[in-house]
Amino acid sequence: MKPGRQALAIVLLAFALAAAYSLWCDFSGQGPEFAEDPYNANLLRLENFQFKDSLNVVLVGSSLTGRLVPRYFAPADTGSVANLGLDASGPLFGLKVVAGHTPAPRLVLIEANLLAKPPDANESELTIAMDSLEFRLARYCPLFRTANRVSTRLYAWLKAGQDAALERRIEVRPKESASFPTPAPVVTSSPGEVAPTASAVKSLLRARLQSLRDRRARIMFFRMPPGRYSKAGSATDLAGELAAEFHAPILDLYQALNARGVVLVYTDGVHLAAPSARRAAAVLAELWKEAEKQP
Amino acid sequence: MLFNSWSFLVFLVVVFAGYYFGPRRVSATATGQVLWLTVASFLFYGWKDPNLVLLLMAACALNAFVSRRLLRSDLDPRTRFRTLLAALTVNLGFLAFFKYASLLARLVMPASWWESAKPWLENENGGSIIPLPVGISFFTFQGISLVVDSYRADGEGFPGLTPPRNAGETRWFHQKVWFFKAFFPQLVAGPIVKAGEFFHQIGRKHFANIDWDDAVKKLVAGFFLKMVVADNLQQVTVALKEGAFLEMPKINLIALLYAFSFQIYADFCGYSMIAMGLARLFGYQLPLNFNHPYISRNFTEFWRRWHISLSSWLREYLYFPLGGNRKGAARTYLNLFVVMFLGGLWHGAAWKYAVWGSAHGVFLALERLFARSATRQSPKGWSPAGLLGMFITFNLVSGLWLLFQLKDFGHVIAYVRCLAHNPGGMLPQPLFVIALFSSPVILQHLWAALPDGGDRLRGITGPRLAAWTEAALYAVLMLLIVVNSGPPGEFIYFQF
Repeated sequence: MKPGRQALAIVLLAFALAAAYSLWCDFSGQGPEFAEDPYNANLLRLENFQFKDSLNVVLVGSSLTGRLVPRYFAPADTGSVANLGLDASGPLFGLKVVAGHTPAPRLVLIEANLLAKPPDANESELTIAMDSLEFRLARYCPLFRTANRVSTRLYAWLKAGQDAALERRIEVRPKESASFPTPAPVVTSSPGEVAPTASAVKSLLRARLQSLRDRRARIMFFRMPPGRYSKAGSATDLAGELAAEFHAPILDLYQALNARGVVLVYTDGVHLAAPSARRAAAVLAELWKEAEKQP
Repeated sequence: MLFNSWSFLVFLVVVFAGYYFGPRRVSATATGQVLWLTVASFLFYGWKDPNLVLLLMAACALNAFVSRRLLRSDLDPRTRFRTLLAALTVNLGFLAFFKYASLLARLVMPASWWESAKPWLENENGGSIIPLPVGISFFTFQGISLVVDSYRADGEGFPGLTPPRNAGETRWFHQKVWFFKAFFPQLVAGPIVKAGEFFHQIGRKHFANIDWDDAVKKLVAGFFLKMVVADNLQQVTVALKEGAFLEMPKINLIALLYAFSFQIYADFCGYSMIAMGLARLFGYQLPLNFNHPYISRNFTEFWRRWHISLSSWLREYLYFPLGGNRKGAARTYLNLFVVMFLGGLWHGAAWKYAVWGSAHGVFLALERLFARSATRQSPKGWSPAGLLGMFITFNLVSGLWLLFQLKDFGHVIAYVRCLAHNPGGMLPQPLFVIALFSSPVILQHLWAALPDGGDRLRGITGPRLAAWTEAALYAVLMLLIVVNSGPPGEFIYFQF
């Protein structure tokens, strides 16, 4: 090759590859629902929420909620669902994102387990990411989306295979499949008694809930299975207080799953494995539909 | 300004356009081009904190003045030597004040004095109150190289920098020194360019002479290493920094160790390659800084492949003046230790860096002790002894990197304890990230370890197909930069 031609070839080939990859992403159907690290998993959920014009239901919470991917709700005929269960985060940041989204979703389900988690460096990192040019470009140019990262697609593909294998194992041997012991039932939260919590977090939560209420979004709280490490505590008490204030129901998903005898399998003792998450999503959909019937 | 930011892209386009196609006064003469790049470099340096520009200007002015004086042929040797000492003191004084004030005060002061001085030097977390100007370690070393080379030139000058004879030449002399110190591609994290390597390159540059192939390949490889490899690995290695490793299974702990080893290489080598690619765009050639260090078969070889510009600087301006290996075996071992101890401290004002450097010094000395001619008779790459040497060197080097990433010695001990006591099993998600994003570095090193890898490919496919294959590979890397970058982070070596 003549001098300088190789550089030109690199650039032209890169453009051709980008076009081909973009087409392949478009034709390969639904993008991944899981990413290889918490940062990209969060961006994936944020993009899925932000880039949709209208949404019926939004789940807001921590990584516990993050496992209930929107696809799991499809059989329950719930309409479009987005999940803002963010890794290493609490509902506070997700509520901020939902409050800034137009139009507001019809129903916002808020995880009670980590309600009192104050914002930290993780939230700052996500704020920077959402303000970045790449994130804004991703709305119009799918090549920049987290769902189209090669590594994310590869990870999601490998995980899907692993989840399918786990699902088959659980169907065959339901009792033995639990990799960690099922946590002992925890007392359902009751409004009234509030454990000490950072007042700043509480007032932020209150402001964001009020903003959603003003935009006619329906609010509900729900409690995820806490896994073996988590304990019931101030967060559920805080949920009780806020639920009472905003006349919102608390859906105890954990108790409902136990009552239905669902085997809870955790990947790491805290987060639900795919088969359990799928069942949990179905039960949660039942619970909120039931709650919606009430005035 | 970060290389991996949109603002830098705009900056680069404007500076490049002005350099080659700007008004004639800028683009048609060497002085215009040098002035343009120098001003742009100051803008680059002061982008985040304009106050930093004052410090850099002071360093440039000082070194220009001193080197001109040292190059005068009518200066008597005694005055010349005093001038050199004064220049070294001021250069090192800058570094000592901004980087080591707290460490030195703690060492030198009696306990009671230190207690009263502490609030002025350290914050509540034990960090220094004096802000560390980015890149100070690099441009100070370049300044020292300039004044020492000027002293050694003994009134003769060296290629590209001769004693000025009139006002016009004096102005040009100062302009060149300021440019040498401030040239933005290498300003904040090297490669540390020695005066003799740079000044002879200064001159009028033409757009038609740009080596596009080399520039584009270096830029693509550099950005890929930084944005795809290092920034994605950083997502998992942060667990070491924040103490999240305490509850991890053993296999994840070991994987984290190697992940950081690959990350720091990709981060710093990536920076150096970007710097070389950028310099190429402006017609300059910076020295090679990395040459596949993880295939080194011993520590001596490692330091000939890792941060080459620092090790050659230390050899030329510290090891040789200390006597090198000319004063007997014992003195050689001591010199090696002292150089590596100071080289360790160059990375930061904390004892962990000194321990890191000292450990390298000890290994270098031991290597000389037990295999006097290790470097001359080093085992061949794929021989059993060569492979064993690579394995041992890589593991020791990677283990020592822990001192860079872990917060303090307490965390190092905790890490070792966790290796012994944490449960088995594994967390697959971080392992996936580590395996995937380490693989480019591993493949790159394996390719380099193959004898005549590139030539063999050319031999099999013919030069034309080999060039297209290479182009396709770089195109894939370019695509991955766009679609698979990690969250943008600062370069690790910025903190040094």
